[in-house]
Amino acid sequence: MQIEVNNVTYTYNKKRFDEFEALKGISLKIDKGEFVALVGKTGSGKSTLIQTFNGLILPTSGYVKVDDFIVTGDKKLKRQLLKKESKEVQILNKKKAYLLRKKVGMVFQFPEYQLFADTILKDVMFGPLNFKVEENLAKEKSINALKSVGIDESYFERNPFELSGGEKRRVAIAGILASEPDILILDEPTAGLDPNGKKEIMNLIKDIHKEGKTIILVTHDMDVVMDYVDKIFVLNDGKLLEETTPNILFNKENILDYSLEIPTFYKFKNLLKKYGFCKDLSKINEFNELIDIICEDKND
Amino acid sequence: MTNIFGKYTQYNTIIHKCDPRIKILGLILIMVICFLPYGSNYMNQLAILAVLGVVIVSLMIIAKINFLDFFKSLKVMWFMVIFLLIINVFIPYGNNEHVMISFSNGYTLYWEGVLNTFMVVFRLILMIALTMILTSTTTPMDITYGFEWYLSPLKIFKFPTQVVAMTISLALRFIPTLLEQANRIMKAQKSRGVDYNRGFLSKKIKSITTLIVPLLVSCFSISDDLSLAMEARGYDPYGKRSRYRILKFSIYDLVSILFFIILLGAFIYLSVITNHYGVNIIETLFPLTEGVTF
Ligand SMILES: Nc1ncnc2c1ncn2[C@@H]1O[C@H](COP(=O)(O)OP(=O)(O)OP(=O)(O)O)[C@@H](O)[C@H]1O
Ligand SMILES: [Mg+2]
Repeated sequence: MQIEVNNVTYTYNKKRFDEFEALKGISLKIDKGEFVALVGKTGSGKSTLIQTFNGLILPTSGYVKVDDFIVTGDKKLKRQLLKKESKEVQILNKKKAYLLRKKVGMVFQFPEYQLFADTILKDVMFGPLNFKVEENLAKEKSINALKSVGIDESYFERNPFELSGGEKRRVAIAGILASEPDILILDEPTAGLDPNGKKEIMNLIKDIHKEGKTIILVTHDMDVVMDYVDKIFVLNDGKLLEETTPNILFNKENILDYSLEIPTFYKFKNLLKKYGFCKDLSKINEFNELIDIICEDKND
Repeated sequence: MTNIFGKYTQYNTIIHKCDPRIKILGLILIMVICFLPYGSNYMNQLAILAVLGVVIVSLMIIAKINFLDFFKSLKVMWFMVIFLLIINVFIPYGNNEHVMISFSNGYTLYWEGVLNTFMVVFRLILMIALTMILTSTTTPMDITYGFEWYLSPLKIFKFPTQVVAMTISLALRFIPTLLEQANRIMKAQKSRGVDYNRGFLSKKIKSITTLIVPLLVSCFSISDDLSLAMEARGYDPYGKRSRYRILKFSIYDLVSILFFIILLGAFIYLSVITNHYGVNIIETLFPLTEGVTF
């Protein structure tokens, strides 16, 4: 178990006139090396939940455990939990809590807003340097990260503010990758990109996943979910509605109740059914299988 | 960062319902009261400031201001407090009697300096409280209308009051947006390992630049978009604009005007008798304390 979310609640602006309970008791588990998606309609608490994973938000009650790090705003609970742990874990949690941010890399929605340095390379090196990586090594890691997101060497000394939106986003993602996190969390990484840019970013994420890293993706794009993700957590109104796989979720009769967009493939399947295609399609989950069955039907 | 002072709170108290023009006037009047001279007797000055403090705290309670937010917004003052303390203690002025430290070369530091600092800081805290009362009970729009109304006599001199008012209202409108943006950027940078709370000065300056630069960039892009959007909707800075909310006087306003006039009168009276005639109010009110002067 790499990430364990245990009955987490979170209230924004606690004890004020505009207090708002964004998470209402969520429990879930994510294993090492999984590629999971968090989906749910706007305001369902996805962004809030992922921010508890690297301690930007401390749960009001309940706790999140990421490997040996314990994240909770409930001091009493934290003391209790730490008591059970070994000495090293206690020290890790007290003195080296910042290492959690190295372990869990978080790419926010529109990450291009985080750029600040005067050259692209310096900006990407900022993360590793903060995590006390030695300068030369940080440079090497940054160059690798930039290359992996497809930024050419000729760009390294340029000013990040001169780049296009999509390029900025890639530099920002490289800025997270350079710290070599074990877990990569991405909040709507494809928002506002053209289809090509979207594909590039998603393929990049897939490659990172292949290196054995855990990927947590927050997205509204169900085509992406269908094509890349192994497991889905559906959130609604601050609660976990369901934990499924893409095939099970999109084949559901009541999929419309989830207020999720339906992937193109399933829309097409539904259309076929609606216009009287009579073969059983419920086991078909890929385009080639669908094409085979349509050809068969034509030949009959 | 979200609990910064100056955020409008949506309650329905008397102070919320009051006309913004009167609130602005009241704010200025009470600020004047805060800085009136109240003679040279320290006990008197402290007593009067305490009374003012009670008045302002009651106003804050009526306006349902969150005291936690208030204390948080005071946190930024410590630097100024130290600065004032140094200036006041090392450059003695006025009548100093109580020696704190006496250097061998005859240069002496007095306790009065510390007391003066305390009073200045207390006055500043009162000012912050007052501004907070205004901004948390009045929408930015209303505050601007209020200012525009006060500026309107300048129209005779062809002073573009609407333009100024629009600028102020936009600035006020975008404070929460920028705070939100700052919060977002800080979270992104924290994810890259920045610790905004710890570290020495040089490290702190470095981490602040990681916030300021992106914030300025987004500031410019917001203002760019905004000016285009305003032009696209036909905004003409010198044109005549109608408005949605019309300000009208009500009974609350009359009561509050009376309140301010009485308050101002009372404190001016106090100021005059203490400052010009040297009356010691505490001794006059409580003859028991006679002889116990500071
Ligand atoms: N800083 C904040 N202060 C107060 N309430 C907030 C704050 N941030 C989010 N919320 C509220 O918490 C709820 C959950 O927000 P969250 O950002 O987690 O939603 P989301 O699932 O990420 O939505 P989206 O898909 O639009 O990004 C929303 O109803 C929102 O209004
Ligand atoms: Mg979100």
